[in-house]
Amino acid sequence: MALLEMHGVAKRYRRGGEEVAALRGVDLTVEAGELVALVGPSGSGKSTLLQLAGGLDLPDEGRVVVAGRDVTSLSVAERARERRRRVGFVFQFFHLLPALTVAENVELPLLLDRRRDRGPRVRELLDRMGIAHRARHLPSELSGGEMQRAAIARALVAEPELLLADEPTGNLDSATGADVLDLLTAAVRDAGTALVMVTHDEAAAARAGRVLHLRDGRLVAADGNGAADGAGDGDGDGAGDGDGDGRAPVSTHATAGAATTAAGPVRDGAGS
Amino acid sequence: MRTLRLLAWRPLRRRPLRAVLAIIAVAAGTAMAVSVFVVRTSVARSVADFGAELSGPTELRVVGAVRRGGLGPEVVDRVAAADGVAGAVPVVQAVASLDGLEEHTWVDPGGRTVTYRDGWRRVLVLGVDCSIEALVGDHGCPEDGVTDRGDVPFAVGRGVPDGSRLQTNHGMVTLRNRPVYEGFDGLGDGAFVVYPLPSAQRLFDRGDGVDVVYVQPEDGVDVGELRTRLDELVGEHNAVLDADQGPPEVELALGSALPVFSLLGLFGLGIGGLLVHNTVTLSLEERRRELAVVGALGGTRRVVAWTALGEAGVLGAFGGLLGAAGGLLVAGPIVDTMSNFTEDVAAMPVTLHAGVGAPVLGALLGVVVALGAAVLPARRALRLSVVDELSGRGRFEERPTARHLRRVAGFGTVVLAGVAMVVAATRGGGLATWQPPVGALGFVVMAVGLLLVAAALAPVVLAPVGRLVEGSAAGRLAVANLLRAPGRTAVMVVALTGAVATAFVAAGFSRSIERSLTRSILSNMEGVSVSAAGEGANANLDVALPPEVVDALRAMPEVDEVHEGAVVLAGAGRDEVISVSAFGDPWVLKDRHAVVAGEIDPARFAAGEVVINTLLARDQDLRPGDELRLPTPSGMVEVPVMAVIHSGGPTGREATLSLDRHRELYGPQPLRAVNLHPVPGVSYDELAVAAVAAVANDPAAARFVQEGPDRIYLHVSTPDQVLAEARGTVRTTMLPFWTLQRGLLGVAFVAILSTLLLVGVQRQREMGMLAAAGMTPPRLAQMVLTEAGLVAVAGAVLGALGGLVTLWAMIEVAPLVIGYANDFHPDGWEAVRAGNGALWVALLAGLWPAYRAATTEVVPALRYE
Repeated sequence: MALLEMHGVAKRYRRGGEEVAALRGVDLTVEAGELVALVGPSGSGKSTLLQLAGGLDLPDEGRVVVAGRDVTSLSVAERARERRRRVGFVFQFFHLLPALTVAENVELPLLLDRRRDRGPRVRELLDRMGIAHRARHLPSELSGGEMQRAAIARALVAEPELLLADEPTGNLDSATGADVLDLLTAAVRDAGTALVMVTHDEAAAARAGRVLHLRDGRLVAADGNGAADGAGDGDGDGAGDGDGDGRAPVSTHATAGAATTAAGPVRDGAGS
Repeated sequence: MRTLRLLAWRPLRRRPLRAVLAIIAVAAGTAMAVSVFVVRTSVARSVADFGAELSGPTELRVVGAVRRGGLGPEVVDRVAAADGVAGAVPVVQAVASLDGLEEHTWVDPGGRTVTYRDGWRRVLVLGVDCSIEALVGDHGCPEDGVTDRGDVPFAVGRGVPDGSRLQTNHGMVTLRNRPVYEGFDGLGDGAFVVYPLPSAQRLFDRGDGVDVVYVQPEDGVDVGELRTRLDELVGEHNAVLDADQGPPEVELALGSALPVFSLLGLFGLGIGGLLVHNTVTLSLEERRRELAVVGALGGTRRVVAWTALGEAGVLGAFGGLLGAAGGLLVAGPIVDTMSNFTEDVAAMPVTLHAGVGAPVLGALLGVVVALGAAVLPARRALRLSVVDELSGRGRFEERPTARHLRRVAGFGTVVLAGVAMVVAATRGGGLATWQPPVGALGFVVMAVGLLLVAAALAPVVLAPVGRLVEGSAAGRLAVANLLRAPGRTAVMVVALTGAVATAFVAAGFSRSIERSLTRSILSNMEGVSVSAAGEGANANLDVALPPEVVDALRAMPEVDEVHEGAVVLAGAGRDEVISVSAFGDPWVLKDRHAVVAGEIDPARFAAGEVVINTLLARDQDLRPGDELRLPTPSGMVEVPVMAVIHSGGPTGREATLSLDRHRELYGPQPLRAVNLHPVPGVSYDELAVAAVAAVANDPAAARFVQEGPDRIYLHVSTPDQVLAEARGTVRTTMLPFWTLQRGLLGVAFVAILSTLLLVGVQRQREMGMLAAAGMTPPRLAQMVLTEAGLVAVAGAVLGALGGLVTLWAMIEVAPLVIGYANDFHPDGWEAVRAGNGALWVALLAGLWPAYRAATTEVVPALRYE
């Protein structure tokens, strides 16, 4: 069974009286343990796709299924519960809570889930990320790389099945970014966690088993022509079945959703 | 709990200034409320202790229709002979003046050095016979009973220094070398003098009457049944009370003062709540993205709500505890003031009693107020969109004007509801019992509604005000900044609105009272007052002008007429005491402004009809044409009510009769004061000087005003002097409001400072962009200062408008609470002064944020997220 399924997902935003389509009928499947990179220009809908996959938002059309549960049918509280148990988030700007120490930031998802014996798990993650010596420090005392490692530890601490990373190296220099990516990919592979990573970084995308391209709210083939579907091969080994650009395998068989809505004219982009 | 600690309480450490301010605000609010609680507790305990000390082991006491000498010997005999009575102890309980705080020496005309004491205080004078031994044990009372020993008392209390001088109705008595009685510790710190009953009756004009009879039941007698029997024996005009019940006039008098303090306490709580609301609003605004992250990590809406409420709760608890400590400090001076008052009324001091109730109440109130204030911000936090916040779309709460207007309309309805309650409560003079509480509630509802309207109106007012500065880029940006974040703008504007409105109301209320006093005193007081008690001395004080002094005044060629006055406290129970007064030149016949119902007809007044005040009318459901049942020494007398007037003050229920009718009902009373009317051509000032000289030059009266042991307290005042004293009292009374106003300005300062700093942090990138686009540092600073200035203008305008409505409501409701009616005299200049002050406070608060804006470093700011 696929871990993440998106069927005909469309999302529109209203900005200043005008409706903007962020996603237009996206179909996507991510298998357990799979590493997927999501690339595309700014405004193509990458972040929106992550937000919908993580149940932060609901699609206007289509279904999002995580671990067999239709997220679109869940209440706000149920989605929050699913999120803290099955999904981890890594953000470009880290979003560590400034008043909490590193250890407390990492502990937070466990705390929200009222789990006991949190200490050993937190220490294990901090060790794994190489920032155990920073456990009692505030985020403001860390370097960018350390902050992102703390954010990854926080995302993995609840042992999620799906990790969603929104440009995790976007705010780091290349060397630090590479280190962080090493840690991230190693951690998710060891934990068997599926990773969907939005990135502009080709090197980062190259580490993924599959690279999906988003343009104007649609999954497209790597050359930008035609549509591609997001159905992976499920083996998680990075060997896709598509006709990609040579950098990474990309799946095809796409069907784009409606590009217009009943609500009025649709302007492309601006969803990410 | 750990979630709460990490998410709600930990962030407080990062904003210590704001947290400390909120704690102080809650503390200030709860301190007022706790102080009211402490004062009430202290009064109740002191009254109970005083009553218990006087009554000793007795169970009941009989009091007369009037406080002074209301029980004749026949009543005492009847009580003593009643079935089930083991002992009846008749006592005179006079409240007199003692001149004895400091010792002085004086060389008299004969060259002898005389030592005397100077410095006035009240003292309880007890007149007792041998039956007192039933209360205090055997003290060697002579077998043939006590007799008049002249001016020599049995004993004095520890609080009466040797050589003190007691002012009796017949001059001063020096208390020298008297035995000190160690008992009665609870009686005014030992400020008492014990006389033989006949001496006390003579010195304080009781005739053969006594003030109270303490009753000791026989063993095994049911006290309730005995009380019923005694009730029948003594008649309806006298009363049987629990022996240890405090002096009813004290409870009555404080009963009218405490609601004012309670209202102040409520006001303080409201202000504290407002600041907690502001603090939590700002805090949540600042932490929107953090809360969104918590949401993204799986935090539910409940976690978000608890984060907001938890922060408020801890601020409230700390503030409440601090407020409890502050309440004790505040209660001290209030209790002292109360004590001065109760000592004046009954020679009964009030001492501070705190107990564990104060901190518990403080913490509880603090938490409740803070949680209540945080509900709205918490609800707003629940509505935040995680996606919008994380993607930077939800930063500003843009609201269309239509929504503002809907909010204004909604909150305006609340204001109108409050106004309607005030109007309903004051209709017909507010004579129905439901009207005072409805009036007070309406005032609170209206005041809260006005603040909410001010918050909603802030952006609406700023739009036109902003046109004044839209000529410059900085001005235009400042207006845009304020308008696109209406919530934050409202926080700053409301903080200033509160301060400006309070200044306007305090100044307007002072001015209204002073104008009304001026009109009342200058139009009614035609002459010079000569008093042995001082202006405003309580009716329960035993004091009289020596006949020699009155004779000297009557003989003055500058005096056309000498008007006398009389006052008695009639009725026994707390709910029955009425101050019944009469004047030779009755002001009630002149001051038609005070009339609430009925009409003033001098002929009917002279014929014996009575004018009553609103409190008496309300308590006894009396209207013009009804009969007021007045307790008199000879029984209950029904007197037709001619009119109801606004008149209040410490004595509570008041009735005014003609002097003749008063003497008919209560007999001649000791002459406490006289009013001298001058012959044509003599001014009041000349008359006052002449009066002092006349007494000083009169061979019989001179000793009462010259330095020496016979000098009495004598107060000579013209209408202008009375007015000056009254104005001084008004200003003292209004001091808490001005303190509050300055506190509010401080609150506004910090609110603006912290808000502009917060906005500066959030607009870092925007500042960088503006700087990159060529905006100079002075222009950036100017933009921030313009925002502060615009906020001040909006706050001043809304504060003046809100203050005007609040002042009107206060003038309307005040007679229901304090009894006095005042005219509506808003002080326009105060609005200008307060607005000017608000502008400076806002600009001062904007300096630091402006400096930070001016020193923005472009490159890091553009990178800032």
